[in-house]
Amino acid sequence: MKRIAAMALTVTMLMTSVLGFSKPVELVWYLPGGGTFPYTDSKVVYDAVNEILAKNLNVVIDFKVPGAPGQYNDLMPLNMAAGEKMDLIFTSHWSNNYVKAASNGLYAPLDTLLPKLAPTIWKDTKDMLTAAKVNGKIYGVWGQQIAAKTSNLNVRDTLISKYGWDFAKLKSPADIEPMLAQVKAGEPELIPLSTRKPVAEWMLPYLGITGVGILPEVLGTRVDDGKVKVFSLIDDAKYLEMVNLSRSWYEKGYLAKDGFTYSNDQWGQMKNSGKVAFDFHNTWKPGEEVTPAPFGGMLVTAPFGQSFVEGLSIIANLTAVSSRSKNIETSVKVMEYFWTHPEVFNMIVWGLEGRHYTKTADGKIQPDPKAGYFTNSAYIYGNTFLSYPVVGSNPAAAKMTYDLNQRAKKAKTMGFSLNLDSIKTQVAMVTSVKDQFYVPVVNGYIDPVENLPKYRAALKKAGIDELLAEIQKQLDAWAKANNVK
Amino acid sequence: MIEKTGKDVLVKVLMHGVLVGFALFCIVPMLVVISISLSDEKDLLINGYSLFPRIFSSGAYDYILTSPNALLNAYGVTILSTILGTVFGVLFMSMAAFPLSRPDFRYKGWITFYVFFTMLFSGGLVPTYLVVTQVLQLQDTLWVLFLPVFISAWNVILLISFFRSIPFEMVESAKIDGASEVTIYWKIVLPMSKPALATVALLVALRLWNEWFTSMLYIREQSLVSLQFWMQRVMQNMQFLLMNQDVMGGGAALLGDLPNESARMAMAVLAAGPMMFVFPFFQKYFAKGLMVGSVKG
Repeated sequence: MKRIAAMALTVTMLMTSVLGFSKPVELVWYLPGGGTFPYTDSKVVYDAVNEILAKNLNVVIDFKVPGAPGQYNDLMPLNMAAGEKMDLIFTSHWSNNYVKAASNGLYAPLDTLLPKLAPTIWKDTKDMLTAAKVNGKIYGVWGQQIAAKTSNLNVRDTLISKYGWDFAKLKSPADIEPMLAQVKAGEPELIPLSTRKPVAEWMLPYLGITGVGILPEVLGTRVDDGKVKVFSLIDDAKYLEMVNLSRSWYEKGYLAKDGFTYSNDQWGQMKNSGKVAFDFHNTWKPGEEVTPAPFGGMLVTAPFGQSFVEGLSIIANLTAVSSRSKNIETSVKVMEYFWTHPEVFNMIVWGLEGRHYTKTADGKIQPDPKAGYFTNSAYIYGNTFLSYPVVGSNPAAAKMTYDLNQRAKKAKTMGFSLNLDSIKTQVAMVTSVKDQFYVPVVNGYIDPVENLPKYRAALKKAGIDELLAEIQKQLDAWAKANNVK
Repeated sequence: MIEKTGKDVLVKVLMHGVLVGFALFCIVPMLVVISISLSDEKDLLINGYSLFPRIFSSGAYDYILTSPNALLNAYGVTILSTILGTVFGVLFMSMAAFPLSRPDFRYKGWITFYVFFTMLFSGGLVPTYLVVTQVLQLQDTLWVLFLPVFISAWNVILLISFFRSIPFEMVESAKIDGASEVTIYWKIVLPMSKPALATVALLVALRLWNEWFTSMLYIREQSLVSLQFWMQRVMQNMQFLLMNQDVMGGGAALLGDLPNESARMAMAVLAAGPMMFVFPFFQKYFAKGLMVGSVKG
């Protein structure tokens, strides 16, 4: 199979050269992850993809996959500094820092190229790409996926049918209190509510608060406010309501008594093993309200409050073009090709039909994680809405998610990137105060009446006022320059 | 014959109790690791760890050993680079330290400072990377795994100070007997410095055996990946898969019975297992090596 693909590739290449076409342009695409262990089939898939690209675009791609995001993050600054040949580069805020590389001039600006060479990408994501602006220019293409943030709740279906809950009437997190009481009384082996993150943090979308790029647990701006203003979260009355709610739930025994001692991973494991009843979250995917749970059965998700798009959800997965690339225009065309051709896109995401996945009668696919190629990360390769629906998922979800993204309010601060140079000390000090107080106070593990003032005083001492002043100054300057009101 | 009193027995029981307890602290975690590696993934998720597998499953080993060649190959790479790096490393470092330890070498002060200076100020990651990949062109070769540890400033200084403790009169008398510098180095200084050489060899070998960062930076070729890096990458890939399950949704059904926790432990067993069997046989040599010369006879 491998050999056939390689031969076919050679034949196409020969034919094109005989027919007078130039030799295919070779592009280098750097991305993280890429195929499950033991990656035996990566080359087979890449060859198959290249065969199509060579035929239609006269391009072949050398996919470079140095490792999972952690390793990718360690390696990319070095590769870029070494001036290694690269054209397309995966970049984000969590692996291979986008803003840093873009402001250092490592990526090519795409503002004029996208409308001309990638009309579909431009049409689909024009509004969202505002968030990817660095110093006024766009340096990356967003692999569109769910971007809207919506506070939501999930719980297993067996509890819903047992107690006859109706989520349609949910308006605010406080509405679930009677349900928590029922779980506490009737399901002694379950923790009624997971506090993997504090209730208040999950409820930020519900409260209409978004971050400013640093310290999302401490600082925020309002999405729907008349002005662009940064504030300390614990000075916000509505935020404090959530803190007090969490405290009262803790006192009533709806939260784990020893919740403070669990790590994020442990919470995840407890959820996956079915030891918690309710869990909040801040990303809700329309069309995927009912999903299979790892411990068996189904998880039901219910949203409440508004949805909005914030900058961080966009710069979570971008593909940039290297400013050193000799084929910037071709690279953009390749992205457009992947964006508009499901055949190629699904090949790079799911592998080859019959070998790495099978198609079911209703047009869904059943991937085989052990077959040697399994990425399950469409968002790294581009337009996730092009992905074939997987068994158990809703084929309409892609369209619904697209619509939600378009419909959702866009945070005003999209495209604002903070310059930390003058406030590094304060950020470090506020971070250490946050590490000390945030989890116990905001979860309500300790009494807010007594400890909130302490937290506030410690933040003040750490220099939060200078921090707020500097961020506000930058926000004002940015808002003025970009005509944001 | 010493008569055993009740007190002696009590002391003995107590001591044995403490030692048995301590031994258990060492053995039980190993047993748990082995038990997890042989457990059913789903059972682990729901019921947690136990000392013996509740539901026996070899799924984790099947998964990892779908490509046993990769594992064996990684073992080969690590063993080869450890042996080559240790042998040549000790040789080159002792050769560097030998002249620098000699009071009759004129420039020893400057050169020792030059070596010492690199300990205080290193080139930093990016320049190092540039030199290795662009100047030396060592990426994707076996060399890059052990060539950089041929000389380590700290070990050279350690050897210099040890060589200095060898009386200079011995060198002088050898010279009078007509020995060349090479003979002095090879026949007198090296044999007298066995404990120091053994220590340095152990340090270098341990470092090479546990090396993954170098592989991560410079190795793209599958067949040149070292053991530690191979394992690290498998683990990171698994975490990435789990993360994607969170991000992409529908994952629970997708991933199915792909082993995670059990596979990690199976990997630990496969990586550490052979060493655990090999080490006791070599332990006495290690101990001897470190003791040589400590008792002057």
